[in-house]
Amino acid sequence: MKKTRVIVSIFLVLFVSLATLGATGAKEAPKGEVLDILWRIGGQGEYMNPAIEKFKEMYPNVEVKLEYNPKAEDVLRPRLISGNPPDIFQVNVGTFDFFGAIEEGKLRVLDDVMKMTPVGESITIGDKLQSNVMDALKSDGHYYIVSDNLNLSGLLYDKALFAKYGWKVPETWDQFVALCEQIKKDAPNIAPVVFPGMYPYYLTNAFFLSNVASFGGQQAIKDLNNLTPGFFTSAPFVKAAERIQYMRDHGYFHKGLIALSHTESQMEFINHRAAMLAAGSWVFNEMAGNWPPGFELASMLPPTKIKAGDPGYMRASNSYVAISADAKNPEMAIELLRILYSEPIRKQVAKDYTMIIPVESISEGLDLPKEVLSAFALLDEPLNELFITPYEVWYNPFNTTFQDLISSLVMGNIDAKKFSESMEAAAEQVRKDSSIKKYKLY
Amino acid sequence: MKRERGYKSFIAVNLLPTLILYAVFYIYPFLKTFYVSLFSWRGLSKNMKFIGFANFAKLFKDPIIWKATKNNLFFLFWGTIVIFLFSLFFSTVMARKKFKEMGFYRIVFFFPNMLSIIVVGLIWKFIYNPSFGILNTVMEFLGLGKYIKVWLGDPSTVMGALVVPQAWMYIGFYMLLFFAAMQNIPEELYESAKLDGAGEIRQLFSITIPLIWETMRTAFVFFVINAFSKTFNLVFVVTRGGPSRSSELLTTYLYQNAFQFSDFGYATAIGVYLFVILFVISFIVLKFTKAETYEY
Repeated sequence: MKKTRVIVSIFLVLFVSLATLGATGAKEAPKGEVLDILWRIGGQGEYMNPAIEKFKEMYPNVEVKLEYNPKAEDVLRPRLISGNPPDIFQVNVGTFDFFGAIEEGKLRVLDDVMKMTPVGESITIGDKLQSNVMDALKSDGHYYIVSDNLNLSGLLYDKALFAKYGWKVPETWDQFVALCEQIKKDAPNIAPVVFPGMYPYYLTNAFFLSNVASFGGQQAIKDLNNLTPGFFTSAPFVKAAERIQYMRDHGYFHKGLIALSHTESQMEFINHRAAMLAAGSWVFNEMAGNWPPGFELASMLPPTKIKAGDPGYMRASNSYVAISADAKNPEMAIELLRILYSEPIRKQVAKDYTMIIPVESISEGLDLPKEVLSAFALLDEPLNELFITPYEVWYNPFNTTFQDLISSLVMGNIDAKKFSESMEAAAEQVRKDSSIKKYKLY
Repeated sequence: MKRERGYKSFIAVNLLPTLILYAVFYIYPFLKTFYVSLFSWRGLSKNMKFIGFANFAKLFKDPIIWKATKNNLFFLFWGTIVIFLFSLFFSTVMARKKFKEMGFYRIVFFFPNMLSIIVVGLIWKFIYNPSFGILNTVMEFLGLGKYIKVWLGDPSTVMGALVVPQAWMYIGFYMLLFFAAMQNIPEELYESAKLDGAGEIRQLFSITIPLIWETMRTAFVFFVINAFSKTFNLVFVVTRGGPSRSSELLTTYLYQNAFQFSDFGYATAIGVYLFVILFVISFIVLKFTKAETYEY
């Protein structure tokens, strides 16, 4: 009888252990294993900490070597060349050529990861993440990169300032023009719009491209990403450029913005020397500690609609995570991803670090500060859509030319026609250069 | 004879560690740069594709290269003139007038040189700020409002606006360099010149400059090197080469190609081009400034 009880107890323990393992999907890791992690640290802080804590809890035998570094890409490059890369990393998309690394065979294919489930869930990672965001990260039909954070670009404003002057948040372009005229009349010391002229892509992403989308829909954005011949001299692009020219000619831009860095332009906005800031959902965190009492930061959908009732468009950007092809411990790196995408961690990093993992219902169940939520809540409205711009990463020199030309357009060195023609010429250069790999957004 | 050989071996052994470090960390990467410039290389793996002189062919057709070269030459020309004139003026005044507060002036003038160039850049960014910068505020106060500009945001003023912090930073250094050289000039020479009726200007051109000429030649080479390689940080912090590449330099463009565009082959070709320019200009400067050395 006693023997039977022991056997039953052993089975019970085994059953419970297996059931627990089944629920989390945890794998046994032998002692001595190391997980080597390199993560860029920016405005959102050490946001991997919750996932790492959970990982250590699940895999106490695995030693975690974690490096947070603001210039993580500078650390990564020599490590990739020497064949000693971190197992998993997240670095700056602007200064690390992810797609070049794919072509060089330096990143692990993640197709299998997309079919796995986040820890404790039944839906696959591929189904959980936003398909339009993830599809843009594919190369030759395969996933090599996943996204761990999504930001939205748009116009920011101070609700209190708008209330003080009785200004209404515009929806359409006509309403926007009327508002800018009103601002000029009511408050001559407040410029209607500011953006960091040192980094003209802020205007491109927060406003110009939404205009392109308003004139040509998602198809226009696809054409832009795919550098479709003739697109840059076609109506959606030219009309969007004419709107920037109109803003310039009517004095809607802050007069000194061309010399401003991003923090300087943000300070102009905070100090009410500009009514609207072309930036994005990260600004609340980035300027933490600088918001004056009474400042009610809020996001508006780029007011680019042709008429009320049209769809609204916001550009989304995301940071990239990859597992090295030469990773010494790819299995544990995958486990870390499964933890990162699990619901408790998704909610915790949103609450503690305002880091938004790009899942299908993006802001659902998240406890976000109202300033950040105001941007993501705009996407809850059925007609509003986000769009993505992987061309920036695919064709980095082309994107730099794009931003130089935007800067010239704002400064008044060129007009919308010349801008569009120069863009078409720059795109043609990429198209005919056989040494540049071409990508396509479907 | 044997003793002399032993002495030479002793010197060689002492020099060897430094020479090895110099060879590994300076000469080898330097030569490797020439080699890499002949390849297409992303800098992400060891995969390099030999393309001969294609990077150089691209370089000569690249309009940004010419713009950047022009901007570097602007720094060289105007930076040299401003820094040279001011540092020579201050060092001469300090050496000849023997002010009581000389120690204080030396510290004041040299102070900017002790600051990091990043700090210098940020200070001047504040000075030029279009909304609250002290420059525009003072100009407005003085009734010069109509001349106010967005100094760093206007392609016609940005380069001039960048030369000013560069000069502010280096004037003190060259002032001390010239001042130290002037300290070695015997006072009797000036006294004799005075007796012969030579004024301060005549003394400057007939005594001071000829006797510190070798120091000045060295300074000219420093000017060339500074204009091409020491301007990177300033421009990177203050304008990032903008607006619309109006202040792009060869070094900022090199950096962009390497670290933003992952085109290390082309970036190293720009590095080689930079070396050739520096070499040629330095050679010309040394050749054409060669003069008789006076011993005193």
